[in-house]
Amino acid sequence: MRTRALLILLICILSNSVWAKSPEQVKAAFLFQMSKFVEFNPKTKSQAITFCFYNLELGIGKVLKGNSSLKINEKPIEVVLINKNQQTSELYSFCDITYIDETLENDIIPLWIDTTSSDTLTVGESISFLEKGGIAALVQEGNRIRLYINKQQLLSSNFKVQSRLLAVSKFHPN
Amino acid sequence: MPKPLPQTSIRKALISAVMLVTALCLSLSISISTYLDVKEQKQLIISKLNILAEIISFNAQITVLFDDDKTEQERLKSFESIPLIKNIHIYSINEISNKAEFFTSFNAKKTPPVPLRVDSIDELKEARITDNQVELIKPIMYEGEVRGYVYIRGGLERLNDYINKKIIIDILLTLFVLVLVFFVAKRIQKRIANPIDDLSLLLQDVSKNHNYNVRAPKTNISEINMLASSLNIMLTRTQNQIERHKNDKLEIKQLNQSLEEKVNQRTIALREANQELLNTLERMHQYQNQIVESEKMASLGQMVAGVAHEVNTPIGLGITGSTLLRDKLTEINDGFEKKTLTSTQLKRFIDDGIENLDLIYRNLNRAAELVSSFKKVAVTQDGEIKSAVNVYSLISDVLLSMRAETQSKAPEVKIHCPSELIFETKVGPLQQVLQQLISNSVIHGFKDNIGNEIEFTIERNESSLIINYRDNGVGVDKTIKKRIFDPFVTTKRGEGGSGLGMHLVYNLVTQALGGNVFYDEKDERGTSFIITLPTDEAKIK
Repeated sequence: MRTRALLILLICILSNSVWAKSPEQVKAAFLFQMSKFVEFNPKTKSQAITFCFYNLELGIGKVLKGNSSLKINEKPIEVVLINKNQQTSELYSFCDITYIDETLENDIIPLWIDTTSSDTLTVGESISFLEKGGIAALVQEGNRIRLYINKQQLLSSNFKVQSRLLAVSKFHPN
Repeated sequence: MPKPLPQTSIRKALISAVMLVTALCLSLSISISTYLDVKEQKQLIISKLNILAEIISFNAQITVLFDDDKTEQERLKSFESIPLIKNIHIYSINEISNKAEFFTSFNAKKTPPVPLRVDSIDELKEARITDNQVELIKPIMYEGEVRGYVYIRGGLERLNDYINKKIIIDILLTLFVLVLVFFVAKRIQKRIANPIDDLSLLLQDVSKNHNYNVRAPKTNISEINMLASSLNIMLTRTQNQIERHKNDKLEIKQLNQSLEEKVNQRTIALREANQELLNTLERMHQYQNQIVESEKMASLGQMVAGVAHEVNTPIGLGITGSTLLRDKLTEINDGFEKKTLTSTQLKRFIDDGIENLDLIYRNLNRAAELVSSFKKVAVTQDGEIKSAVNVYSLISDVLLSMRAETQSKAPEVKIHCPSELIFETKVGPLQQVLQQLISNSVIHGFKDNIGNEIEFTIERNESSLIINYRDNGVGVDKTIKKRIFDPFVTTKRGEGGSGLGMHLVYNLVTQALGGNVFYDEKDERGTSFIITLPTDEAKIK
């Protein structure tokens, strides 16, 4: 009896640990979900929805890489590792969504501001990312992740964000 | 006594029927329409709530997906303008426990919050209508997965208000229609009842005053016109019938008078015929008496002829004998006077004289016997006095007295009679009857001298004494069976029979003894007579 009780307790603990989601996982889910409400330019893009990350070993990139069988509007997703030194034109050629985590924001953003393409959705992790010219940011507020959008940058982009997504988003600046 | 039928009038019945039917129809119609309307309204409310829940569910997809309860709460506030919605709950599916949990809610103004319905999701997938509310739950689907649920509760106050208003309007409408129908029915009833009243008055006039000359007028109602027409035909026929009846009555009266006259005539004729018949009957009685007298005379003549015939022979023989004796005597006298008489002649005369005198004596004796017999037949026995006699002894005495007569035939006599049987009667006539019967058997019945039998059987009952006499002789000749009791009927005429024996028996039994006697033709072995004497004459002891 005692052995059985211990076994049940162990299963419960393990299961909780399995089901408890990390902030990266939540952000990965948000990133994946928000991409469903974005209508990318179909003429210039391949069939797959391409998520570009600077690091696939850690964070959201790793999570999505591990779930590469997911689909968005019946299109498969593709997780691509990009290099800091790559030209923005290259990025433009295959990235639908480019995720820049908070640690890389300072390095990459300045490079972008002038050269970034209006066909790729740039997603960061802080308000300052938006202020630097990013389009969207998944900002952690307490125990929640909140989507922020830079409306001005969004209007100048070539893709469309559905109003339903905008309804649950906060705009920054303003 | 039969129970009197409840009385009503056409007016009342018509108005009551119309009002009742109208009220029933209206009630039924209003009830059905209200029921259907309420059902439809409820269905509309459910449908509306379903649509709203679908909208909320669709909108909540993204807020639940991005865990943005505040945005959703703000959005739900927009439903304040819809009075139907009282409460909205949105439940999200916990990714860890996979159970629904509260996400956000909305309560209309002045509406208290309701408890969470996460435990009643399955029950409320179909709308649940209670007294004053409708509840339902819709899933929040996204990409084929349930992400949460929308609970919505709608109030039915407005529907109830609507129903109350509708009922009030329906009642008012019903009352209005009933009033309208009442006036219309009253008007129709007048149109129908007035001609019927007129007809009724007309019929009363006919029945009270026997006024068959009146006729029902025409109206604007075809059925009553038909009735009036039929009534007029009936009145016309009745009038004609009465006329015919009067004529028939007159004719019958005339016929009666004629019949009475005929009856009187026939009565007179019958009376005359009856009188004629009475006269005829009188004449017939006279004729009958004459015939009876004639018959009596004829019978007397026949009897006299019989007597003459019977007496004539012996007297004739006597006359012949005496004439012959006188001739012989004259002859002897001549011889005596002439002295020529011889002894031979005298001897012959004496012999002849003796013979003639014997002949005369026998015949005169015979004539005397016949006269005696006639006397016996004619003599009345009224003088005889009744006396009690023992029947058995009487028969025995008679047999003993006739021993000499019966000796030659030696009949065996059997007497079946109780030895103590005594009755009161005239002994002499009865004795004569028995002697005559025995004598007839010996003289006429028995041919041989042996094997002869005579049997007396005496029976008695309440009213009579019966003497059955029977012998085993040759019986009565067929030719005289029917006339056996008539006088001078005999088969031994010229042989000593006078034919008066059974006539004497008949007279004695019927007249002297007051009984009756008849010859029993059924007995074929001999001769049998049955004598019945009445009890007032034969008192059985």
